[in-house]
Amino acid sequence: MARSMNSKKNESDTFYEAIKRFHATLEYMGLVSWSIISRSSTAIIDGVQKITETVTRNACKPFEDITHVTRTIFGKKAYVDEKIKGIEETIKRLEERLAFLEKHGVRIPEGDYQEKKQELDKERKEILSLIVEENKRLRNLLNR
Amino acid sequence: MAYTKILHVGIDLGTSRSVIAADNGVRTFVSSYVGFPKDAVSMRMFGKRDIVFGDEALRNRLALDLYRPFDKGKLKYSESLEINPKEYEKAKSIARNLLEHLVGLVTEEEPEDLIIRGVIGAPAMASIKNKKTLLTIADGVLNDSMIVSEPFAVAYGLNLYSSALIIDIGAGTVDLCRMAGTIPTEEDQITTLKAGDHIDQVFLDLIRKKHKDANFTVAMVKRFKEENAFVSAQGESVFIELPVRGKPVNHDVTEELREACRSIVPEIVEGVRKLVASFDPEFQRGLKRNVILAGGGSQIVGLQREIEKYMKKALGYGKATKVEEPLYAGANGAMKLAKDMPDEYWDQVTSRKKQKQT
Repeated sequence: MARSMNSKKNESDTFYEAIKRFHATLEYMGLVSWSIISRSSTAIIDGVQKITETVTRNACKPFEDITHVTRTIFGKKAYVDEKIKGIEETIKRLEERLAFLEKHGVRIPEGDYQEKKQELDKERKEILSLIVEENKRLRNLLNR
Repeated sequence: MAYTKILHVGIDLGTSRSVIAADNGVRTFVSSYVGFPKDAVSMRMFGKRDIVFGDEALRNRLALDLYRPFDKGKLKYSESLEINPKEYEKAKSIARNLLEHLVGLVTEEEPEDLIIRGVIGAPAMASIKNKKTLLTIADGVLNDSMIVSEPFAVAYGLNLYSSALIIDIGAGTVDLCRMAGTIPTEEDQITTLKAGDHIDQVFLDLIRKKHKDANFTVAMVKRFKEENAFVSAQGESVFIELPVRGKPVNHDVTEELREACRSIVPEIVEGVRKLVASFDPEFQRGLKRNVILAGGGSQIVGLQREIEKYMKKALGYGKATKVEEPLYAGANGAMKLAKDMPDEYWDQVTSRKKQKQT
Protein backbone atom coordinates (compact mmCIF):
# COMPACT_ATOMS: atom_id res chain seq x y z
CA MET A 1 0.00 0.00 0.00
CA ALA A 2 2.73 2.31 0.97
CA ARG A 3 4.72 1.42 -2.19
CA SER A 4 1.77 2.20 -4.55
CA MET A 5 1.19 5.49 -2.89
CA ASN A 6 4.89 6.44 -3.35
CA SER A 7 4.83 5.47 -7.04
CA LYS A 8 1.87 7.82 -7.71
CA LYS A 9 3.54 10.63 -5.88
CA ASN A 10 6.78 10.16 -7.92
CA GLU A 11 4.91 10.22 -11.21
CA SER A 12 3.05 13.42 -10.37
CA ASP A 13 6.38 15.15 -9.30
CA THR A 14 8.12 14.32 -12.57
CA PHE A 15 5.28 15.70 -14.60
CA TYR A 16 5.14 18.82 -12.53
CA GLU A 17 8.91 19.35 -12.84
CA ALA A 18 8.77 18.85 -16.60
CA ILE A 19 6.09 21.51 -16.98
CA LYS A 20 8.10 23.92 -14.87
CA ARG A 21 11.24 23.42 -16.98
CA PHE A 22 9.32 23.80 -20.18
CA HIS A 23 7.84 27.03 -18.88
CA ALA A 24 11.27 28.34 -17.86
CA THR A 25 12.71 27.44 -21.27
CA LEU A 26 9.90 29.25 -23.02
CA GLU A 27 10.45 32.32 -20.84
CA TYR A 28 14.20 32.30 -21.49
CA MET A 29 13.67 31.93 -25.24
CA GLY A 30 11.25 34.86 -25.17
CA LEU A 31 13.72 37.11 -23.36
CA VAL A 32 16.56 36.19 -25.73
CA SER A 33 14.34 36.88 -28.75
CA TRP A 34 13.20 40.23 -27.34
CA SER A 35 16.76 41.20 -26.60
CA ILE A 36 17.89 40.36 -30.16
CA ILE A 37 14.94 42.23 -31.70
CA SER A 38 15.40 45.37 -29.55
CA ARG A 39 19.17 45.54 -30.16
CA SER A 40 18.89 45.14 -33.90
CA SER A 41 16.08 47.69 -34.12
CA THR A 42 18.25 50.29 -32.33
CA ALA A 43 21.04 49.69 -34.80
CA ILE A 44 18.70 49.92 -37.73
CA ILE A 45 16.99 53.11 -36.47
CA ASP A 46 20.35 54.93 -36.16
CA GLY A 47 21.33 54.01 -39.69
CA VAL A 48 17.93 54.87 -41.11
CA GLN A 49 17.94 58.20 -39.28
CA LYS A 50 21.37 59.11 -40.66
CA ILE A 51 20.40 58.22 -44.20
CA THR A 52 17.09 60.09 -43.99
CA GLU A 53 18.68 63.23 -42.55
CA THR A 54 21.38 63.42 -45.23
CA VAL A 55 18.87 62.85 -48.00
CA THR A 56 16.46 65.45 -46.60
CA ARG A 57 19.22 68.03 -46.09
CA ASN A 58 20.59 67.61 -49.60
CA ALA A 59 17.12 67.68 -51.07
CA CYS A 60 16.25 70.91 -49.23
CA LYS A 61 19.55 72.75 -49.81
CA PRO A 62 18.78 74.16 -53.26
CA PHE A 63 15.50 75.57 -51.94
CA GLU A 64 17.25 77.09 -48.92
CA ASP A 65 19.87 78.71 -51.18
CA ILE A 66 17.23 80.14 -53.42
CA THR A 67 15.39 81.61 -50.41
CA HIS A 68 18.64 83.08 -49.02
CA VAL A 69 19.65 84.71 -52.32
CA THR A 70 16.18 86.11 -52.83
CA ARG A 71 16.17 87.55 -49.33
CA THR A 72 19.62 89.10 -49.79
CA ILE A 73 18.61 90.70 -53.08
CA PHE A 74 15.20 91.97 -52.15
CA GLY A 75 14.91 91.95 -48.37
CA LYS A 76 18.29 92.68 -46.81
CA LYS A 77 19.45 95.53 -49.01
CA ALA A 78 17.55 98.08 -46.97
CA TYR A 79 18.88 96.57 -43.76
CA VAL A 80 22.49 96.74 -45.01
CA ASP A 81 22.04 100.33 -46.20
CA GLU A 82 20.72 101.25 -42.77
CA LYS A 83 23.71 99.60 -41.08
CA ILE A 84 26.20 101.40 -43.33
CA LYS A 85 24.49 104.70 -42.60
CA GLY A 86 24.74 103.96 -38.87
CA ILE A 87 28.46 103.15 -39.17
CA GLU A 88 29.04 106.34 -41.19
CA GLU A 89 27.33 108.39 -38.48
CA THR A 90 29.43 106.72 -35.78
CA ILE A 91 32.64 107.46 -37.73
CA LYS A 92 31.55 111.08 -38.15
CA ARG A 93 30.90 111.37 -34.40
CA LEU A 94 34.30 109.79 -33.64
CA GLU A 95 36.04 112.18 -36.03
CA GLU A 96 34.38 115.15 -34.34
CA ARG A 97 35.38 113.80 -30.93
CA LEU A 98 38.94 113.22 -32.13
CA ALA A 99 39.14 116.80 -33.47
CA PHE A 100 37.90 118.05 -30.09
CA LEU A 101 40.47 115.94 -28.22
CA GLU A 102 43.26 117.14 -30.50
CA LYS A 103 42.29 120.70 -29.72
CA HIS A 104 41.59 120.39 -26.01
CA GLY A 105 43.57 117.31 -24.96
CA VAL A 106 42.25 114.40 -22.92
CA ARG A 107 39.83 115.36 -20.20
CA ILE A 108 39.11 113.06 -17.29
CA PRO A 109 35.91 113.61 -15.26
CA GLU A 110 36.68 116.45 -12.88
CA GLY A 111 34.86 115.02 -9.87
CA ASP A 112 37.37 112.22 -9.39
CA TYR A 113 40.30 114.54 -9.86
CA GLN A 114 39.93 117.95 -8.38
CA GLU A 115 38.50 117.44 -4.93
CA LYS A 116 40.66 114.69 -3.51
CA LYS A 117 43.59 115.76 -1.39
CA GLN A 118 45.25 112.61 -0.14
CA GLU A 119 46.37 112.03 3.42
CA LEU A 120 50.12 111.78 3.09
CA ASP A 121 52.26 109.24 4.87
CA LYS A 122 55.36 110.32 6.78
CA GLU A 123 57.79 109.17 4.10
CA ARG A 124 56.06 111.14 1.36
CA LYS A 125 55.72 114.24 3.50
CA GLU A 126 59.43 114.12 4.16
CA ILE A 127 60.21 113.88 0.45
CA LEU A 128 57.91 116.82 -0.28
CA SER A 129 59.50 118.91 2.45
CA LEU A 130 62.94 118.26 0.91
CA ILE A 131 61.65 119.48 -2.45
CA VAL A 132 60.29 122.60 -0.80
CA GLU A 133 63.65 123.24 0.90
CA GLU A 134 65.47 122.93 -2.42
CA ASN A 135 63.02 125.34 -4.07
CA LYS A 136 63.31 127.77 -1.18
CA ARG A 137 67.07 127.83 -1.72
CA LEU A 138 66.53 128.49 -5.42
CA ARG A 139 64.08 131.29 -4.65
CA ASN A 140 66.55 132.87 -2.26
CA LEU A 141 69.22 132.82 -4.97
CA LEU A 142 66.72 134.34 -7.37
CA ASN A 143 65.82 137.16 -5.02
CA ARG A 144 69.42 138.10 -4.32
CA MET B 1 33.53 134.09 1.98
CA ALA B 2 34.92 133.84 -1.50
CA TYR B 3 36.15 130.46 -2.68
CA THR B 4 39.13 130.55 -5.00
CA LYS B 5 39.65 127.44 -7.04
CA ILE B 6 43.17 126.04 -7.08
CA LEU B 7 44.36 124.26 -10.17
CA HIS B 8 47.41 122.02 -9.90
CA VAL B 9 49.47 121.46 -13.02
CA GLY B 10 52.48 119.35 -13.90
CA ILE B 11 54.64 120.64 -16.74
CA ASP B 12 57.38 119.07 -18.80
CA LEU B 13 59.00 121.79 -20.93
CA GLY B 14 60.79 119.60 -23.41
CA THR B 15 63.20 120.31 -26.23
CA SER B 16 60.87 118.70 -28.75
CA ARG B 17 57.48 118.58 -27.01
CA SER B 18 56.05 120.41 -24.04
CA VAL B 19 53.50 118.51 -22.02
CA ILE B 20 51.02 119.65 -19.39
CA ALA B 21 48.71 117.69 -17.09
CA ALA B 22 46.20 119.44 -14.83
CA ASP B 23 44.05 118.18 -12.00
CA ASN B 24 40.88 119.37 -13.75
CA GLY B 25 41.42 116.33 -15.95
CA VAL B 26 42.90 118.10 -18.97
CA ARG B 27 46.25 117.05 -20.30
CA THR B 28 47.79 117.85 -23.60
CA PHE B 29 51.04 118.62 -25.39
CA VAL B 30 52.40 120.89 -28.08
CA SER B 31 55.55 120.67 -30.13
CA SER B 32 58.01 123.14 -28.61
CA TYR B 33 57.95 125.47 -31.60
CA VAL B 34 56.94 129.09 -31.50
CA GLY B 35 56.53 131.14 -34.67
CA PHE B 36 56.04 134.83 -35.39
CA PRO B 37 54.53 135.90 -38.74
CA LYS B 38 57.22 137.37 -40.98
CA ASP B 39 55.11 140.17 -42.43
CA ALA B 40 51.60 141.54 -42.84
CA VAL B 41 50.70 138.90 -45.44
CA SER B 42 51.61 136.00 -43.18
CA MET B 43 49.92 137.75 -40.26
CA ARG B 44 46.72 137.83 -42.33
CA MET B 45 47.20 134.15 -43.14
CA PHE B 46 47.10 133.32 -39.42
CA GLY B 47 43.96 135.39 -38.81
CA LYS B 48 45.87 138.38 -37.43
CA ARG B 49 47.47 136.25 -34.73
CA ASP B 50 50.94 137.50 -33.92
CA ILE B 51 52.16 134.20 -32.50
CA VAL B 52 51.67 130.59 -33.58
CA PHE B 53 52.54 127.44 -31.62
CA GLY B 54 53.36 123.79 -32.07
CA ASP B 55 52.78 121.78 -35.20
CA GLU B 56 50.89 124.65 -36.82
CA ALA B 57 54.03 126.75 -36.56
CA LEU B 58 56.17 123.92 -37.93
CA ARG B 59 53.81 123.32 -40.85
CA ASN B 60 53.83 126.99 -41.80
CA ARG B 61 57.49 127.64 -41.04
CA LEU B 62 58.10 129.34 -44.40
CA ALA B 63 55.76 132.17 -43.37
CA LEU B 64 57.15 132.43 -39.85
CA ASP B 65 60.23 133.27 -37.89
CA LEU B 66 60.40 129.92 -36.16
CA TYR B 67 61.97 129.37 -32.74
CA ARG B 68 62.62 126.40 -30.52
CA PRO B 69 63.37 127.95 -27.11
CA PHE B 70 64.98 124.88 -25.56
CA ASP B 71 68.07 123.02 -26.67
CA LYS B 72 69.73 120.04 -24.99
CA GLY B 73 67.30 120.28 -22.11
CA LYS B 74 67.92 123.92 -21.24
CA LEU B 75 66.91 127.36 -22.39
CA LYS B 76 68.95 128.48 -25.37
CA TYR B 77 71.79 130.91 -24.62
CA SER B 78 71.39 130.38 -20.86
CA GLU B 79 75.01 129.22 -20.67
CA SER B 80 76.27 132.19 -22.68
CA LEU B 81 74.19 134.85 -20.99
CA GLU B 82 77.08 137.30 -20.80
CA ILE B 83 77.95 136.98 -24.50
CA ASN B 84 74.40 136.92 -25.91
CA PRO B 85 72.21 138.80 -23.43
CA LYS B 86 69.68 139.85 -26.10
CA GLU B 87 69.24 136.33 -27.52
CA TYR B 88 68.93 134.98 -24.02
CA GLU B 89 66.17 137.46 -23.17
CA LYS B 90 64.41 136.60 -26.42
CA ALA B 91 64.62 132.86 -25.71
CA LYS B 92 63.24 133.50 -22.20
CA SER B 93 60.34 135.51 -23.55
CA ILE B 94 59.55 132.81 -26.17
CA ALA B 95 59.66 130.11 -23.49
CA ARG B 96 57.24 132.18 -21.42
CA ASN B 97 54.93 132.47 -24.46
CA LEU B 98 55.03 128.72 -24.84
CA LEU B 99 54.28 128.16 -21.16
CA GLU B 100 51.40 130.65 -21.31
CA HIS B 101 49.99 128.81 -24.30
CA LEU B 102 50.26 125.46 -22.50
CA VAL B 103 48.57 126.77 -19.36
CA GLY B 104 45.93 128.45 -21.52
CA LEU B 105 45.06 125.07 -23.00
CA VAL B 106 44.19 123.60 -19.62
CA THR B 107 42.42 126.67 -18.23
CA GLU B 108 40.13 127.35 -21.20
CA GLU B 109 37.04 126.38 -19.26
CA GLU B 110 38.17 127.59 -15.85
CA PRO B 111 37.06 130.75 -14.01
CA GLU B 112 39.17 133.92 -14.17
CA ASP B 113 40.07 134.07 -10.47
CA LEU B 114 42.01 130.85 -10.48
CA ILE B 115 45.14 130.06 -8.53
CA ILE B 116 47.48 127.94 -10.60
CA ARG B 117 50.10 125.91 -8.80
CA GLY B 118 52.59 124.16 -10.98
CA VAL B 119 55.53 121.80 -10.71
CA ILE B 120 57.95 121.97 -13.63
CA GLY B 121 60.30 119.14 -14.54
CA ALA B 122 63.89 120.09 -15.25
CA PRO B 123 66.63 117.85 -16.70
CA ALA B 124 68.30 115.73 -14.03
CA MET B 125 71.57 117.62 -14.12
CA ALA B 126 70.18 121.08 -14.87
CA SER B 127 72.43 123.76 -13.40
CA ILE B 128 71.28 126.14 -10.67
CA LYS B 129 71.27 128.84 -13.33
CA ASN B 130 68.92 126.80 -15.50
CA LYS B 131 66.56 126.06 -12.66
CA LYS B 132 66.50 129.72 -11.73
CA THR B 133 65.69 130.59 -15.34
CA LEU B 134 62.79 128.14 -15.33
CA LEU B 135 61.44 129.69 -12.14
CA THR B 136 61.71 133.18 -13.65
CA ILE B 137 59.77 132.01 -16.73
CA ALA B 138 57.11 130.41 -14.58
CA ASP B 139 56.69 133.36 -12.25
CA GLY B 140 54.80 135.42 -14.77
CA VAL B 141 52.48 132.57 -15.72
CA LEU B 142 51.88 130.39 -12.67
CA ASN B 143 50.86 131.75 -9.29
CA ASP B 144 53.04 129.27 -7.41
CA SER B 145 55.75 127.17 -8.98
CA MET B 146 58.37 124.62 -8.04
CA ILE B 147 61.11 122.81 -9.94
CA VAL B 148 61.89 119.11 -9.66
CA SER B 149 64.19 116.80 -11.51
CA GLU B 150 62.30 115.32 -14.45
CA PRO B 151 63.16 111.63 -13.81
CA PHE B 152 62.25 112.15 -10.15
CA ALA B 153 58.83 113.40 -11.27
CA VAL B 154 58.43 110.23 -13.34
CA ALA B 155 59.36 108.09 -10.32
CA TYR B 156 56.99 110.02 -8.06
CA GLY B 157 54.15 109.50 -10.51
CA LEU B 158 54.80 105.76 -10.46
CA ASN B 159 55.19 105.61 -6.65
CA LEU B 160 58.74 104.34 -7.03
CA TYR B 161 60.70 105.94 -4.24
CA SER B 162 63.38 103.32 -3.81
CA SER B 163 65.26 100.63 -5.72
CA ALA B 164 64.41 101.91 -9.17
CA LEU B 165 66.43 103.38 -11.98
CA ILE B 166 64.57 105.83 -14.21
CA ILE B 167 65.77 106.49 -17.76
CA ASP B 168 63.93 109.44 -19.30
CA ILE B 169 64.81 109.62 -22.99
CA GLY B 170 63.89 112.98 -24.43
CA ALA B 171 64.88 114.90 -27.54
CA GLY B 172 67.61 117.01 -25.94
CA THR B 173 68.80 114.85 -23.07
CA VAL B 174 68.65 111.36 -21.62
CA ASP B 175 68.23 111.62 -17.85
CA LEU B 176 69.15 108.69 -15.66
CA CYS B 177 68.21 108.75 -12.01
CA ARG B 178 68.38 106.09 -9.32
CA MET B 179 65.81 106.24 -6.57
CA ALA B 180 67.05 105.40 -3.11
CA GLY B 181 64.10 106.45 -0.96
CA THR B 182 64.99 110.13 -0.85
CA ILE B 183 65.45 113.12 -3.13
CA PRO B 184 68.11 112.15 -5.66
CA THR B 185 71.41 113.95 -5.25
CA GLU B 186 73.99 114.72 -7.94
CA GLU B 187 75.57 111.28 -7.45
CA ASP B 188 72.24 109.63 -8.15
CA GLN B 189 71.77 111.28 -11.52
CA ILE B 190 73.41 111.31 -14.91
CA THR B 191 72.43 113.36 -17.95
CA THR B 192 73.70 112.48 -21.40
CA LEU B 193 73.23 114.72 -24.42
CA LYS B 194 72.93 111.96 -27.00
CA ALA B 195 69.16 111.82 -27.24
CA GLY B 196 66.41 112.15 -29.86
CA ASP B 197 67.96 115.13 -31.64
CA HIS B 198 71.26 113.28 -31.88
CA ILE B 199 69.50 110.36 -33.58
CA ASP B 200 67.93 112.80 -36.08
CA GLN B 201 71.31 114.30 -36.90
CA VAL B 202 73.05 110.93 -37.31
CA PHE B 203 70.16 109.62 -39.41
CA LEU B 204 70.26 112.73 -41.59
CA ASP B 205 74.01 112.43 -42.14
CA LEU B 206 73.76 108.74 -43.02
CA ILE B 207 70.95 109.29 -45.52
CA ARG B 208 72.82 112.20 -47.04
CA LYS B 209 75.87 109.98 -47.43
CA LYS B 210 74.00 107.08 -49.02
CA HIS B 211 71.43 108.93 -51.12
CA LYS B 212 73.32 111.93 -52.39
CA ASP B 213 70.61 113.04 -54.83
CA ALA B 214 67.77 113.02 -52.30
CA ASN B 215 66.46 116.32 -51.05
CA PHE B 216 65.21 116.46 -47.45
CA THR B 217 65.18 118.35 -44.14
CA VAL B 218 65.70 117.44 -40.48
CA ALA B 219 61.96 117.86 -39.87
CA MET B 220 61.23 115.21 -42.52
CA VAL B 221 63.64 112.64 -41.12
CA LYS B 222 62.53 113.42 -37.56
CA ARG B 223 58.90 112.68 -38.44
CA PHE B 224 59.95 109.47 -40.16
CA LYS B 225 62.12 108.44 -37.21
CA GLU B 226 59.30 109.02 -34.73
CA GLU B 227 57.11 106.58 -36.65
CA ASN B 228 59.69 103.89 -37.42
CA ALA B 229 62.54 104.02 -34.88
CA PHE B 230 64.00 100.64 -33.97
CA VAL B 231 67.26 99.06 -32.79
CA SER B 232 66.53 95.34 -33.10
CA ALA B 233 68.52 93.24 -35.56
CA GLN B 234 65.45 91.58 -37.03
CA GLY B 235 62.52 93.37 -38.54
CA GLU B 236 61.03 94.63 -41.75
CA SER B 237 62.84 96.93 -44.14
CA VAL B 238 61.88 100.59 -43.87
CA PHE B 239 61.60 102.88 -46.84
CA ILE B 240 61.43 106.65 -46.82
CA GLU B 241 59.97 108.63 -49.70
CA LEU B 242 62.30 111.51 -50.53
CA PRO B 243 62.25 113.80 -53.56
CA VAL B 244 65.03 113.41 -56.09
CA ARG B 245 65.05 116.37 -58.49
CA GLY B 246 61.43 116.99 -57.56
CA LYS B 247 60.26 113.40 -58.06
CA PRO B 248 59.38 111.32 -54.96
CA VAL B 249 61.54 108.19 -54.81
CA ASN B 250 61.49 105.38 -52.24
CA HIS B 251 64.80 104.86 -50.44
CA ASP B 252 65.69 101.88 -48.27
CA VAL B 253 66.97 103.36 -44.99
CA THR B 254 66.71 100.28 -42.73
CA GLU B 255 70.40 100.13 -41.83
CA GLU B 256 70.76 103.90 -41.49
CA LEU B 257 67.81 104.17 -39.10
CA ARG B 258 69.02 101.25 -37.01
CA GLU B 259 72.51 102.70 -36.79
CA ALA B 260 71.19 106.15 -35.89
CA CYS B 261 68.92 104.78 -33.14
CA ARG B 262 71.72 102.60 -31.78
CA SER B 263 74.01 105.62 -31.52
CA ILE B 264 72.41 106.67 -28.21
CA VAL B 265 72.51 103.22 -26.61
CA PRO B 266 76.19 103.04 -25.50
CA GLU B 267 75.96 106.19 -23.37
CA ILE B 268 72.67 105.09 -21.80
CA VAL B 269 73.96 101.68 -20.85
CA GLU B 270 77.23 103.12 -19.60
CA GLY B 271 75.18 105.46 -17.40
CA VAL B 272 73.17 102.51 -16.10
CA ARG B 273 76.36 100.63 -15.35
CA LYS B 274 77.85 103.59 -13.47
CA LEU B 275 74.73 104.16 -11.38
CA VAL B 276 74.36 100.48 -10.52
CA ALA B 277 78.04 99.91 -9.81
CA SER B 278 78.30 102.90 -7.49
CA PHE B 279 75.17 101.95 -5.53
CA ASP B 280 75.16 100.19 -2.16
CA PRO B 281 76.00 96.55 -3.06
CA GLU B 282 73.18 95.23 -0.92
CA PHE B 283 70.62 97.12 -2.97
CA GLN B 284 72.14 96.74 -6.43
CA ARG B 285 69.99 93.69 -7.19
CA GLY B 286 66.78 95.65 -6.67
CA LEU B 287 68.03 98.47 -8.87
CA LYS B 288 68.91 96.07 -11.70
CA ARG B 289 65.47 94.51 -11.46
CA ASN B 290 63.68 97.82 -11.79
CA VAL B 291 64.92 99.87 -14.74
CA ILE B 292 62.11 102.10 -15.98
CA LEU B 293 62.12 103.61 -19.47
CA ALA B 294 60.17 106.84 -19.99
CA GLY B 295 60.07 109.71 -22.49
CA GLY B 296 59.47 109.66 -26.23
CA GLY B 297 62.74 107.81 -26.89
CA SER B 298 61.56 104.80 -24.90
CA GLN B 299 59.27 104.06 -27.84
CA ILE B 300 62.21 102.92 -29.97
CA VAL B 301 61.39 99.33 -30.87
CA GLY B 302 63.84 96.89 -29.31
CA LEU B 303 65.54 99.43 -27.01
CA GLN B 304 64.25 97.71 -23.89
CA ARG B 305 65.78 94.37 -24.95
CA GLU B 306 68.99 96.03 -26.06
CA ILE B 307 69.43 97.57 -22.61
CA GLU B 308 68.57 94.28 -20.91
CA LYS B 309 71.07 92.48 -23.14
CA TYR B 310 73.81 94.92 -22.23
CA MET B 311 72.97 94.78 -18.53
CA LYS B 312 73.13 90.99 -18.62
CA LYS B 313 76.57 91.21 -20.18
CA ALA B 314 77.95 93.98 -17.97
CA LEU B 315 76.05 93.53 -14.72
CA GLY B 316 74.93 89.90 -14.78
CA TYR B 317 71.25 90.67 -14.81
CA GLY B 318 68.82 93.43 -15.79
CA LYS B 319 65.11 93.92 -16.27
CA ALA B 320 63.80 96.99 -18.04
CA THR B 321 60.16 98.09 -18.24
CA LYS B 322 58.54 100.78 -20.36
CA VAL B 323 56.08 103.15 -18.67
CA GLU B 324 52.53 103.04 -19.99
CA GLU B 325 52.37 106.63 -21.18
CA PRO B 326 55.93 107.67 -22.00
CA LEU B 327 54.98 111.15 -23.22
CA TYR B 328 52.90 112.06 -20.17
CA ALA B 329 54.88 110.22 -17.48
CA GLY B 330 56.86 113.32 -16.40
CA ALA B 331 53.93 115.75 -16.47
CA ASN B 332 51.66 113.27 -14.67
CA GLY B 333 54.23 112.80 -11.91
CA ALA B 334 54.80 116.55 -11.57
CA MET B 335 51.04 117.13 -11.37
CA LYS B 336 50.71 114.44 -8.70
CA LEU B 337 53.51 116.10 -6.78
CA ALA B 338 51.84 119.53 -7.05
CA LYS B 339 48.58 118.04 -5.84
CA ASP B 340 50.14 116.14 -2.94
CA MET B 341 52.08 119.19 -1.76
CA PRO B 342 50.35 120.55 1.37
CA ASP B 343 49.14 124.17 1.25
CA GLU B 344 51.60 125.22 3.97
CA TYR B 345 54.47 123.98 1.79
CA TRP B 346 53.21 125.97 -1.18
CA ASP B 347 52.99 129.04 1.00
CA GLN B 348 56.70 128.76 1.71
CA VAL B 349 57.65 129.13 -1.94
CA THR B 350 54.84 131.32 -3.25
CA SER B 351 55.84 134.20 -5.47
CA ARG B 352 52.49 136.00 -5.22
CA LYS B 353 51.30 138.22 -2.44
CA LYS B 354 49.64 136.21 0.28
CA GLN B 355 45.98 135.76 -0.40
CA LYS B 356 43.40 134.63 1.98
CA GLN B 357 41.96 131.39 0.73
CA THR B 358 39.03 129.66 2.20
